[in-house]
Amino acid sequence: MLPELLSAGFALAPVWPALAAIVIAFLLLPGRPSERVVARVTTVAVWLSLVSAACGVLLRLSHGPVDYRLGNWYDAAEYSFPLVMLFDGLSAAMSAFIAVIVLTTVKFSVTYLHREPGFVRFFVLTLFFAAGMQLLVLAGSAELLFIGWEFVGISSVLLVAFFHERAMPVQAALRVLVTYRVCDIGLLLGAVGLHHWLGTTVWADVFARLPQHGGEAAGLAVGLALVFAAMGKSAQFPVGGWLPRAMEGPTASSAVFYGSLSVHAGVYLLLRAAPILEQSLITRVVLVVVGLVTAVIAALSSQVSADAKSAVAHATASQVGVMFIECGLGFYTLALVHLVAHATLRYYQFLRTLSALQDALWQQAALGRTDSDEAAARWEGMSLRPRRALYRLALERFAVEPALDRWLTRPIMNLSRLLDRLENGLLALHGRSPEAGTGAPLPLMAPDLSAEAGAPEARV
Amino acid sequence: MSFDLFALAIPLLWMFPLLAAFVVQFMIREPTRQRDVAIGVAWVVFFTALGVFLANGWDSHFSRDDLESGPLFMSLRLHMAVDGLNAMLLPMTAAIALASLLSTPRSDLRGNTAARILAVLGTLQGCFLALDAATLALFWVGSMLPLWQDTRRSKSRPLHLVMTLAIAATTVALVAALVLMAQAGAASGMASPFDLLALARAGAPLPPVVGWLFLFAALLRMGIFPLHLWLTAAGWRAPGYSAMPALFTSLGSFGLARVVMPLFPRLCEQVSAPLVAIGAVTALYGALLAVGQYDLRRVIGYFWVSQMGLVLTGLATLNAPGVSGALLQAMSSVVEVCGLMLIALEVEARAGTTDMRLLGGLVRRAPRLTTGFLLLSASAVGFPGTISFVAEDLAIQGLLYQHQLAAALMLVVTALNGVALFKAFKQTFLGPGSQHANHLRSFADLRGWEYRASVALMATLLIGGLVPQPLLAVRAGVVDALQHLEPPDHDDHHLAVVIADESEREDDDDDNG
Repeated sequence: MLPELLSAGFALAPVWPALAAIVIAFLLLPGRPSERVVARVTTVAVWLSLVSAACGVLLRLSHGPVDYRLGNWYDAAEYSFPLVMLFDGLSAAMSAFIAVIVLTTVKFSVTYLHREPGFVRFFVLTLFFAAGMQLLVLAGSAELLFIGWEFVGISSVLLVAFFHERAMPVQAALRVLVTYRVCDIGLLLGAVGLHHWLGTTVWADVFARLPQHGGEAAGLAVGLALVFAAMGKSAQFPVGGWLPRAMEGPTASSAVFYGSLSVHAGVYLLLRAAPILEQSLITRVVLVVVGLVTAVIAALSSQVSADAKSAVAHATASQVGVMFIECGLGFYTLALVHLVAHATLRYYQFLRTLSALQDALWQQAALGRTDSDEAAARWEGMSLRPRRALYRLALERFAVEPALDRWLTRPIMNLSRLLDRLENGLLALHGRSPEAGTGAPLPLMAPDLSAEAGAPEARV
Repeated sequence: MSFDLFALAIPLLWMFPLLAAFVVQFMIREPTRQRDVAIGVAWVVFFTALGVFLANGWDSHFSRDDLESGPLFMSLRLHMAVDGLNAMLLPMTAAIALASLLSTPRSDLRGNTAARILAVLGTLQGCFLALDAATLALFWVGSMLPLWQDTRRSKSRPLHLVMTLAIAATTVALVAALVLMAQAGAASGMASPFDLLALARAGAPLPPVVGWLFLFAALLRMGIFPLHLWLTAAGWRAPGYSAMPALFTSLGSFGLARVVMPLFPRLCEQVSAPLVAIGAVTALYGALLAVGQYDLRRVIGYFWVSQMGLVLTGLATLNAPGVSGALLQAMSSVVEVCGLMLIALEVEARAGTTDMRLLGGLVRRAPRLTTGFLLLSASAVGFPGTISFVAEDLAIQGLLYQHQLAAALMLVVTALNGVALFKAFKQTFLGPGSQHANHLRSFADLRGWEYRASVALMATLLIGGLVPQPLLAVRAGVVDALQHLEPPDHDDHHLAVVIADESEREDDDDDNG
């Protein structure tokens, strides 16, 4: 009886925040609810989520791993989507950690965002994020994990664009979205690959069937696909350029997303899929190389960053790179401990960036030097030529982003424009088109913007 | 008693809007009254269709026939029915017509636009209900005429010519198919050579060219590359009620499932792999073009093409998850494209343009409009918890059996579509806004029925996505029947189960006995 109760309680960890987000969304329909109501609903939900996570810890301590099956979400002929959760040490630890961090963030943000125009939006998105993270770590199948992954992704993008009246946050949000969407292909490929290869995406079944399918090429493909997905979410080389840009969001969301939880979701995926990654040496070598390159580039970039949040963001990516190396080398327990410790430290550092100048002044007064002085001293230890070269490379972030733009983004956009020109040419065969599509000058139908004409009035 | 009600409901679904269109066009002059009458008729049709769906949607066979009496004109019979394939399409079509009427600015409803929306509604309902190839063809061509008539008045000559060509090609293909069917029927001595159910039961071999002609008409209607020009042109330049053409594409996938797949299974097997390839190319082509556009309506137009590619790819797999996913995707993409197009039209009505370089920052004036676009976009790209997620998941699972490369390509397409729609969202609604957008003094948010219609569309997508099993169950019988199709055996002229269920045939046998 007790295991069933604890399992049911644990399974509710993602439900509470999702339910609270829906309640607040409904409250928004008639008009903007008060900050007090939103804060109360949110706080209650995250406390309940914490209680559910505590159930998970108790379950793990008393009964060991549990494969909790709730049936199928939907069935169609030979295919079904299983609703299954895996309660083991990894998911229990992560779930409790997530609940604590989210609760702290909510408490911090109620005061921090007081009278901010986007107060309600922030809490709705934070609740969606909390639901997504909890689902991600409790998911017993790759497909369910993908759903949590997507929730985390969309809430992250929308929080980067939180200050939507400015151009930079919106542009940064698009960058984050593009990276996420591209790298999500990896997770989807991994999930459908698992289904095709082993006939299931349920982790427990996958791990049980792996020994009979060792050394197959499909294992390598699935492993590499999952690594690619993890690289995107955890801002690893070469797709990590979005992380410093994501600092445009509110500090509280930067702390919880890019210092603490979201950026470590990739590492969690690697830990969860560890038996699959171990199937192939190539996958592990790729993990080590990606982690090593990221650690070096991000550490150097962090040293030369001009603002506190970017410096912490690069430092985060660097440490996550080290976790990738640990996973590649098979030190999974070390990686988990590293994850929790690092996420806690970075979370605190991000929240303190608001007081960075004050902290520096105190440090200067107490010690006679600051962290920046120490960093500068390290650079001065090198001779001038390599120092200049390395400094420039670090400033440019090793030109990874321009290279990706040149070799990936630009060709796609050029192809799009070429196809559009062909389409317009084809349409022009049917008569003169008064307008143009891609890359053309402003269309003739653009309204008259002269002062005399004024703005077009609504026709409703 | 229920049969009597049903017999009344079926003609009401298509005849009532057509009659009302005639009345609104020729007998009512005042625009406000035209609008009120049209909305009233659309409500009646919607509730009737919903009742029919709830009462009979779960029947997987053609059990409820209406007016299956003698010939009406030559060999044309008004043979209509509701089954799992069309049960959902009927209320959905009525709902979208209703949303179009409610959301179209009153000023744009002048010039008998309301009558045209009703005419499109009536003809589409007729198409979905028809079990007679000739009736289906008649409504098929007729459904495009109101839009074509409007394009004559628009200043876009390319749009008018493209639409004319599309209608001409469809007419030629369908007329040729009917002539060949009539010849085949005469040769085999069939009394009703166009009756789809009779053809399926009799197993009379039709010339494959008939299948090719119907396939061509369906692909043209779906806007499959390279037959997509009419669709993007309509999405970009069609006047007023541009949300309605989104329903036309669902007619293409419906035509494939209603005519081509049951009557020409051998042809379907032959063209399965090429159709998967064409569908994948269409999906990628539409996504690539959507990502580079500057006009909101063009983004939606190319996204629409991309979605149709995904639908075709799923249908062409010919396996249960693929077909089930494709049919669901065909339905959800209609709702999503209609919703997005309605929002684009509302932006156009308020800002005078949909060029995204002249927009931006609209969220400050229209948060509801912005939220609506965001939610519809998320749904359109298959965000978990929406119908499209379920549909895409099933379609990709269907592709995995034999077309792994196409499945991988579909994942890339989904990612590209997500980027295209979010980019459009960002340029239209977020950011500091262009000079033009900042000078829009009277840009109003969604209000009244516009708001309610948008909420209803979003609620449909979300509820359907969270609880998809009933939607899948509606078509389970059809998918199962299509799964067990076998080419006719010419030795004993026995046709495998095509559409009609076993029990009905047994009943027929008992009656004959």
